[in-house]
Amino acid sequence: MSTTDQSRTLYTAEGLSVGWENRAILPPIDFAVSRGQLWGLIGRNGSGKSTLLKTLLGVTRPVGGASRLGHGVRLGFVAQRSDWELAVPARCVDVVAGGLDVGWGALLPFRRRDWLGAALTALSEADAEKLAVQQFSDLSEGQKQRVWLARALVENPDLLVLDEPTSALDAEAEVMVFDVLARWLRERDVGVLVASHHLGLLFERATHLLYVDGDDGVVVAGTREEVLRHPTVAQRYLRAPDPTGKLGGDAHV
Amino acid sequence: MSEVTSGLQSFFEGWELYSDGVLAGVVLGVVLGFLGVYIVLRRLVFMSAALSQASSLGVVVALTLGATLSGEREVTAPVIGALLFGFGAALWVSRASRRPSVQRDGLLGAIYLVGASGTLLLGSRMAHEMHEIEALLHGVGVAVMPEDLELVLWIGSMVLVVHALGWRAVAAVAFDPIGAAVRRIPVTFVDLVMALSLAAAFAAGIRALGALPVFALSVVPAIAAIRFALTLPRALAFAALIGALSAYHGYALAFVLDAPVGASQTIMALAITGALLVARVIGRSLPGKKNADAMNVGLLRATTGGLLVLAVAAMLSVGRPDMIQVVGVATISGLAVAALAGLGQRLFLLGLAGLAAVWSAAAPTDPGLVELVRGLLFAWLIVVAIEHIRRSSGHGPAKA
Repeated sequence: MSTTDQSRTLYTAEGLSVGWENRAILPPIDFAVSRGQLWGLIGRNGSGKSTLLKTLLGVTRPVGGASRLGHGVRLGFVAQRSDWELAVPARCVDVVAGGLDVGWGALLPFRRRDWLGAALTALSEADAEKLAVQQFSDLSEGQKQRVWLARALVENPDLLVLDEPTSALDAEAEVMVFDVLARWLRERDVGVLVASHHLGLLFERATHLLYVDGDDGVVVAGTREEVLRHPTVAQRYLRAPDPTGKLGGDAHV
Repeated sequence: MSEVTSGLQSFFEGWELYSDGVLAGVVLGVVLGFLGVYIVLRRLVFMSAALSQASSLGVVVALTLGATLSGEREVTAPVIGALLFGFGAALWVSRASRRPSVQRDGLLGAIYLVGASGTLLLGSRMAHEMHEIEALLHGVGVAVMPEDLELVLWIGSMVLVVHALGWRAVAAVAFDPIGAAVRRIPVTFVDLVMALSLAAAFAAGIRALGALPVFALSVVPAIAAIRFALTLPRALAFAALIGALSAYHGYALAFVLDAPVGASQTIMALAITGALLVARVIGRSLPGKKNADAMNVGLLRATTGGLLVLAVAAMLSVGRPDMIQVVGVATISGLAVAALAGLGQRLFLLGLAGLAAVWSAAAPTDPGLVELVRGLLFAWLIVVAIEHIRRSSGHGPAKA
């Protein structure tokens, strides 16, 4: 890896083993996320995606190997929608402003001076500025997802991690989410890692894929084309037509 | 009616004897109402019941271990026992609350059963202290010792100050724990602070009020507050206000009904919350969403104004029992008016007339202080009225 490549690297996993109580649930993984890359994390339910994400985010300790976030890299995270209690009374601008609470600073009584401006800017970035004073619980699933994106974006993250952000969305809302991500990749030069079961758009928009399967003990990481040509991945998604049409001769992987 | 009058008369005539109990109840109502928002929103309602029983067991264990009922240890040893048991239980539940709900509920059930049965088992071996045990479980005590009041005031102010300063971190850890960890918020530290706050508030509450009202005040006010408030800080303030009102009016109700204080405070909390929820249902059933929004905004203004009135009057009312009565009646009446504000101009005016009637009936003897409270109350009502008119004319909710 050249010096330039290294300076653009946001996250590196080297021989990373993830699991619980010192028991690895996946084989060791090697991959690196750089600026401008959109990584798709795919695999069946219970395949280890969430555990891998939590390890990457620093919430769960690795069982082995190294999970390294680049120096000074800021993380933005969009959790699964079921992780938020909808009964919490909050306007959208309050939900987004919550993303500004970082480290021990969250224990201070006052928010930074420009919190409102930052929250409104983030809402605007996520095409959700009109929702600012609406109650979060009153929104549709697509609108909620845009507000979640704004919450993750408000601290200007370098690496954005999303856990099944489109699981409850219709096709139009799903496209919107990926459009926002694409714009951020283009304009902010960030890195993105998305875990998703909705493969159509992911296969179309992702630059890289990370396939995990705890049951069969398989992990494949690389560019989209490399991963989709891997025998295990191809067999798993054999019935799915190649949505991109970019894989060359074998249209059905 | 005469029973009501004579009950209230004996309440106010014996004010010097009961004022400490009322004040302790109001402070605990504020603290438990505040913390209750987190308990209810995290769906840990049964945690309140379990912690109440764990704290009760802590008191009984401390008594059993040799604390006497006289001298300095009378206050400190049982409270320390309640604090230790409550802290242990709160910390345990806090850690378990992120596991599957079956495990969490099982743990809560076990803590409740161990606490309740242990309290009765150990209590039955201390026949001479059975009244004390009864008071712990059901809140039958009327008077509060000065040492207990002092403890309640210390613990109450500390918990409120800590949570007023760090509410954003507490909310982040409570409602988005993974997001909080990703943003490097000190989750373990905040969990510890929350567990300690709950244990301290419950320990003081068990000692001064008893398990039943502590459970009620830590759950019921939050239910109404969450439904009405538009933001979390406002829900916290609203729940604290309902908690204070429930504790105060429940105390007075105990004299009217000649009933145990704890049960009366519980009934009062349920009555206030029930009335607010009914008002909300009526507001929402009216055509258009605007009415419900207006009622919410009116209630928010009422909360702010009510807290202001309560705070000012509390400062002025030291040694002035008549002021507490005025403040209590005025605040709850104002809340009712604010609720009506969402139902239309005519009903709003009707509410104002009702308030005037209540005010006349409750007017105490000190003209100067009455004027001050009246001025504050009317200023508050004017704010509510202006907001109502503003919203009726088509303006949107408060801008961010």
